[in-house]
Amino acid sequence: MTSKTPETMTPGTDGLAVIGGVILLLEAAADRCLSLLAADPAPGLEESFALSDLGLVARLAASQARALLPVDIELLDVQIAESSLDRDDPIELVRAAEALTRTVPIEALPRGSSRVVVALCDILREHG
Amino acid sequence: MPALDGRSVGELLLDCDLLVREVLMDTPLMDGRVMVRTWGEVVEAAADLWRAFPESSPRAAQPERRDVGQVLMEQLQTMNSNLMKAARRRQWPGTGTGDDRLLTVCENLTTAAELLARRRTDVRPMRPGVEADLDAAKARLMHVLYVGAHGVQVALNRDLRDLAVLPATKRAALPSESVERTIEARDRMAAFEQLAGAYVSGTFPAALHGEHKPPAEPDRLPQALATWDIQAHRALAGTPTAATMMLIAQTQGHTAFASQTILRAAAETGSIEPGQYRTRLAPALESAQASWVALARTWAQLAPQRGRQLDPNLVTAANEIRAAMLEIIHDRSGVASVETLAATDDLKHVSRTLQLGLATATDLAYALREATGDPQLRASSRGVNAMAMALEARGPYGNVSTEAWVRPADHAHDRPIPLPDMVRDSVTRAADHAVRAAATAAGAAASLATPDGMPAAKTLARSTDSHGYGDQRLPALQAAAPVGPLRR
Repeated sequence: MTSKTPETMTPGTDGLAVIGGVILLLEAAADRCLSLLAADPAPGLEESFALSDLGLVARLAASQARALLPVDIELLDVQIAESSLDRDDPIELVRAAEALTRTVPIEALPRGSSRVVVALCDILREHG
Repeated sequence: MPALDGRSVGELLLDCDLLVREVLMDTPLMDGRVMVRTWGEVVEAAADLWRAFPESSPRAAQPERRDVGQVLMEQLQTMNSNLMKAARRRQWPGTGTGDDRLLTVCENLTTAAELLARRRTDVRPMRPGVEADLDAAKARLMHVLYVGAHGVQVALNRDLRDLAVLPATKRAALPSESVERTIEARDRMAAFEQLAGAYVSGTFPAALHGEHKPPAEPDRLPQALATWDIQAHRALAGTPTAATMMLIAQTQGHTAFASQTILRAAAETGSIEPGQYRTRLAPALESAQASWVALARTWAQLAPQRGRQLDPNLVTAANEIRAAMLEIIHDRSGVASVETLAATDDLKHVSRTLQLGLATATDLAYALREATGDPQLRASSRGVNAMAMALEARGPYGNVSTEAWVRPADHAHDRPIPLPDMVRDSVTRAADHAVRAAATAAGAAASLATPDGMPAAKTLARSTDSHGYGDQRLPALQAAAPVGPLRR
């Protein structure tokens, strides 16, 4: 896969790179939720449930996005701004993923991406 | 009253909303003319449904004032009639196939209109809850038209771009007015969208908060838990991957959080025995949550980027577990209050289902631990290295190895590698902890009082000993004991 950042990508491979970035951001969000749940002291039950739900839905959306990529594509070369992945708030990571999908026209994304975009919007509506 | 397929008016409208969202997303792949052919019917069906809605109770201050939405809908219907008349007169877009998804929207709207019985609200005032539900239905219907019109407009724009780049020979074969008609239809759709948007901007999504929430399907959660259990065992019985273990542990953790949310409400409303919940079940559930989260974190670190694809059936089952739990726990704005949960759900029935879910979690934890020993299991080189370094640093001598835990070339490309013994032992210990915690939670849940006052577990393993449990009692019961402090 291209190693260009989303800001400098050209049409063609852009869509795949964007989906790659979305996957990384969603998985980072899911991991961040798990870290927050493992904190000592643990958050209260309501907050824990919300974090757990966000983490799981982010993980499932990442899996949905991953299914759009050809099997020979690797995500190791996908670069997204460090500042995006370093965000502490998991919902900010999801927000960054949604913003990333808007950096290219919808037709540049792989077929089936509409469901991923809808899933991202749903997560933000439920947890944002 | 539900439709023949069992869906309510609200569900039919929700389906329409989701369908037009899909249409909008896929417009680059669609033919604008096909969509225009079907759009007229969508608007007619929407107008019929609007007319079928019961009239709102007249406000005391404005008894004669007409419903603003009704006036707007009539305007939209007129615009649509003009567009369709023009299309017939000019034979554009002509006859041909229609758009399947828009046709389904038409069918849904027609079915919804048939479901609505006429009622005289001037005789019997509408209750506030019904009025709020009606406002929500109107907001959603107008949103369907708004999003759908935008989709048609985007598709027509796409047609125009295609026409512009068509080779001269092919363009000559088309009717000369194709471009002109497409532009006209696009502009009319834009005006339609703007008008519908005026209603949407004032109502959507705020009005949806008043939408009636039907009670959760009683069979959905048991079905979701059973399907998840089967799919998770299947995934582990095949060739388990680190990503599979990660998703299973995370979903089990989520199930434990959701279970506690529901069972706490059940205890507070007397659906289960509050004392047993507080002293035994709550601490056990917290311990299970912590164990599953720890295991999920471990596997998330070890899951290599290559090979994170998951079995679609497992993903679907996890999605369904989440949806089934949310259907019970959430109201329109977030986690429902205890009172709302008790009013909308049979918490005794749900508690019994969760008892079974917690019991099967123990078996799944054992399967997960067993899969950890699979020699074919591969993990991320970078994850393995980081974990091994951390484990070694915690030992008595710190990081003293002279040999690298992974080969530099593997680390550079983050290749999947077998688990070193030290890492595998550590993951197995985490899995052991999950087994013990899951068994404790299952045991505590099994001892909860059933509606007839008899502990559920007793019915499974009744015996003659002085405590009421015999030697054949479940392993889960043996492990049941209060652990850890209660969550604040």
